[in-house]
Amino acid sequence: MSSKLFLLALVMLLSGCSSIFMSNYDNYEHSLYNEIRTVSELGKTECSNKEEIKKIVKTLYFKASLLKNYAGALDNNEKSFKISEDLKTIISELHKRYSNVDEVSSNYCELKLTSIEKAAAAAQYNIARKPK
Amino acid sequence: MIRDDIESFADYDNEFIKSIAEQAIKIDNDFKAQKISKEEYVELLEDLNLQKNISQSIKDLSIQERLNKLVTGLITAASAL
Repeated sequence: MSSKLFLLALVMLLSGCSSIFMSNYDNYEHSLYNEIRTVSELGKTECSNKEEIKKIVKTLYFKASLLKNYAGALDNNEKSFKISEDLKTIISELHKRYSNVDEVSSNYCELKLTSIEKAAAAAQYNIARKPK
Repeated sequence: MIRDDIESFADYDNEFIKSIAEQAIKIDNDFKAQKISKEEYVELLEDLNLQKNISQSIKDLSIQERLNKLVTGLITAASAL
C-alpha cells in the first residue's frame, strides 16, 4: 500500500501536479484563440466600412462559439472553459449591437475590437502554458 | 482621483495590467469627448473586468482588488450621470 502511495506521489512530482488536474495543451484550442486575436487586430481598420465590419463581427461570434463548444468538450478543462466563456461574453455584446443597432460608432468599434484582441492575447498566453 | 489612480497603473511592469490601464484611459477619454455613449462606455469598462479574469497572470490579489475598485468606480460615476 505504502509503495503505491509512494509511486503516486512520484508520478505527481515528475509530471508536475497540474498536468493531472488540467487538460494538456491542445493545438486546436490555441489556434482558435490566435484566430480571434488576429481577426480583431486586423478588423480594427474596417470599423468605418459598415458592410465589411458586420462580416468581421459575424466571424468573431462564430469563432467564439466554436471555441466555447470545443473547450467545453475537453476533459478536465474547466479553467480554460471559463476563459472561453468570458471571451464569448465580450464578443456577444459586440455581435448584439451590430445585429440590433443601425449606427455603431467607429470609436466604440475600435475600442471593442482592442478589448477582444487583448483578451484573446491574454487567454492565448495562458493556453500556451498548459502542460505539453 | 480615480483617473489619477488608473494612470498610475499605465507604467506598471506587468503588460496585462498596463494594457488594462491604457484601455481604461482611452475609453474614459472617448466618453468625455462624447465619442461613445454612456451605454457603450459601461459595456467597455465591464469588458476590462472580464479581461482581468482572463489574464490569470495577475497573481497579486491587492492589485486585482485595486483594479476592480477603479473600474467599478468609473462605472458608478457614469451611472450617476
